Amino acid sequence: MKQIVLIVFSLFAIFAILWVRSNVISVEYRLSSLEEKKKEMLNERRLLLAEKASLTSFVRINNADGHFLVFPDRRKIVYISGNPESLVKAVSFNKKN
Amino acid sequence: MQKRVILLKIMLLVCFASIIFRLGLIMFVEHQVYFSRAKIQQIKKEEIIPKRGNIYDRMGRELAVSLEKESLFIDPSSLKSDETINILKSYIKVNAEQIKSQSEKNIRFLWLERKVDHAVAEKIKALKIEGVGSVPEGARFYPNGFLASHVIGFVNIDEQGMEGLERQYDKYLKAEKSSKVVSVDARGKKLSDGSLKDIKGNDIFVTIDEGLQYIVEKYLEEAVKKWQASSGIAIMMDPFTGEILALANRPTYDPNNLKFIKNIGIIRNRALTDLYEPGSTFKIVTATAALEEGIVKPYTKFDCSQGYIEVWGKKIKDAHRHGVLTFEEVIQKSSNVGTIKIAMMLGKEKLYQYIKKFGFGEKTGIDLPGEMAGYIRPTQKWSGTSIGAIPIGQEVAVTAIQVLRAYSVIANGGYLVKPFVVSEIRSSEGNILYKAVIQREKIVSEKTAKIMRDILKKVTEEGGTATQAKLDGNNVAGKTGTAQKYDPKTGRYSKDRFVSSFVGFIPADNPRIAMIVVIHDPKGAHYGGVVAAPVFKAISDEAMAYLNIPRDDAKEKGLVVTFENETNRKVVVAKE
Repeated sequence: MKQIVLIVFSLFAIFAILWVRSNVISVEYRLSSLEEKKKEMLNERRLLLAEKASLTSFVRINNADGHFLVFPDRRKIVYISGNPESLVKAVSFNKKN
Repeated sequence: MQKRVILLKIMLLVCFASIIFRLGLIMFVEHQVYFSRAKIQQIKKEEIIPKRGNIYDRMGRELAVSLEKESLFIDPSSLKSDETINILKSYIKVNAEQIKSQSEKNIRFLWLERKVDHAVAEKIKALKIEGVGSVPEGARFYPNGFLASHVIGFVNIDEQGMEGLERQYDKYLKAEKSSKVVSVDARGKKLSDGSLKDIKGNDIFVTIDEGLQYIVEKYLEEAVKKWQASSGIAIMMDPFTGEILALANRPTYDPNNLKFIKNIGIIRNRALTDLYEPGSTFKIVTATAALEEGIVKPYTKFDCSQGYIEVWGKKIKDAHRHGVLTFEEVIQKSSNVGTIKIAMMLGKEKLYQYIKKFGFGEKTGIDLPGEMAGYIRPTQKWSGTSIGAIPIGQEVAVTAIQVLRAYSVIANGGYLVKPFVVSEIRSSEGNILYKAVIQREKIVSEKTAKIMRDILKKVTEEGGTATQAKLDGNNVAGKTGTAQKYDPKTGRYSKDRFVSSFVGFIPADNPRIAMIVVIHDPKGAHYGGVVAAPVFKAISDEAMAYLNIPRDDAKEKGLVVTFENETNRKVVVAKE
């Protein structure tokens, strides 16, 4: 009886080790493919950031059809000094409320 | 039967014994051989593509970024027919003759095209052409194209900095190639240990402002076209710190399309490399020196009624005949006669001393490559006419950045600042590796600088030479310059080739920006007040709005609103 238990236990241990090992390998495969994806995504992110920088550049905006950068007339600009936080509350939010 | 069983058992035993013996041999004796074979099969060295650090403007906007692209190669010896080349031709530019000649020489590697877009590379890879492969490589991209190209510079195909900041700070920007060891299966498929590494160079933050740079380039371009000039320079600087806010040259180039450059001269950063005779813009050196030495007062009078002065037998004329001028008016009206008279009172030794004090004849030390020192002869080498030429900006060779720096001395109250472009260098982890330190040296007193500021304000007022630089809302202080170019054919000053310039600062009483505009060889007009001063005005006008700098008369016009503390929420409209 003892021998049978020992054999079953040994077989179970061997299969458990194999199962764990195969799982580690499959995780490594999955990690590898995820890393590839991450690399691709990072490259795409870089490309998109470069594209964004290019599209939002002053040159591009001003060259867009019918769109020109027009700087405001400084005679019509009011400069506000003091605590800007109190300004937002006093002028903007209070009115809305 | 018994015998057969015994024989079978012996045979089985021998078989198993030989297997065990072989296994023992592999495990204990030939262990190292098989271990190294397995290592070759299961472990692969993978190169990590290094990314060059980015360059950002003062607001953190990208000026140069690194991307990853694919470089395609071919093994020419594997080329079997022209069909392969024809297929490739539909995607990329292929030099068929070169491939064939390399194939004949049995050469195994040739670049087809470097740094192509991923989409194109993927299409070619999908064709599975024998002998054609690809490797990833870092590629530089400049989102703003030609904008600030002379400051940023560019890299070569191997990502080495060749010009501008890319060259000057190459050691900070570039990242060393690296590799990591990865496990692979029998099919060569990668097994990751989860340590994805990205190698990136340090990021550089510059003092340039993309918005100001755009404004400067826009108006410089317009002026160069309008006056059909051979070249143009404009530099904008913070006069107190030496931070370069914008620097532009014309002609220019797009660092993304270097193959379209036909004339190599256009990549030169003329603001730092091109020497020219400054003409009247140089008069402030004589004037400041005379004031600082106490030789003149703002209202000291000079008789300029003759319209010319004779120096060592050479007649030097004024552009227009003036009467008796005060010291202030000499500068305001840019009188050559008056300036030479001041210089004669000062003496050549003192004049030379101040020229050197203002930093002429030596590099400013700006952190960009290719800067020239300019040239100013020591007094021992001055000719008899030099005292009549040097005070009015002849017989000296300067760069635009040197002249701008000299005017910044007047703007900031007497300090000679060191101009710089890079404000900060950060590692890819965000650690600050370098932070610029403002370097300045007191060379004239605040009192002298203040008097000179007031005088330079008058240059743009009625009666001055640069009324076209006058801005609505803010006082402008500055000086025009119109210098004849030296004609090597005749050995004399040319009668139709000029350098027109205007240099100044704004707002005059509380300067925020100092700027120089230099136009070489304008056609149709040549006075600095006509050619360069309007460019200064146009740039300043938009720059003031962009920088949100109030008009000098904002308070009088009720354009300044002061908020007091939150409790009483009292709005005070300041009117003085």
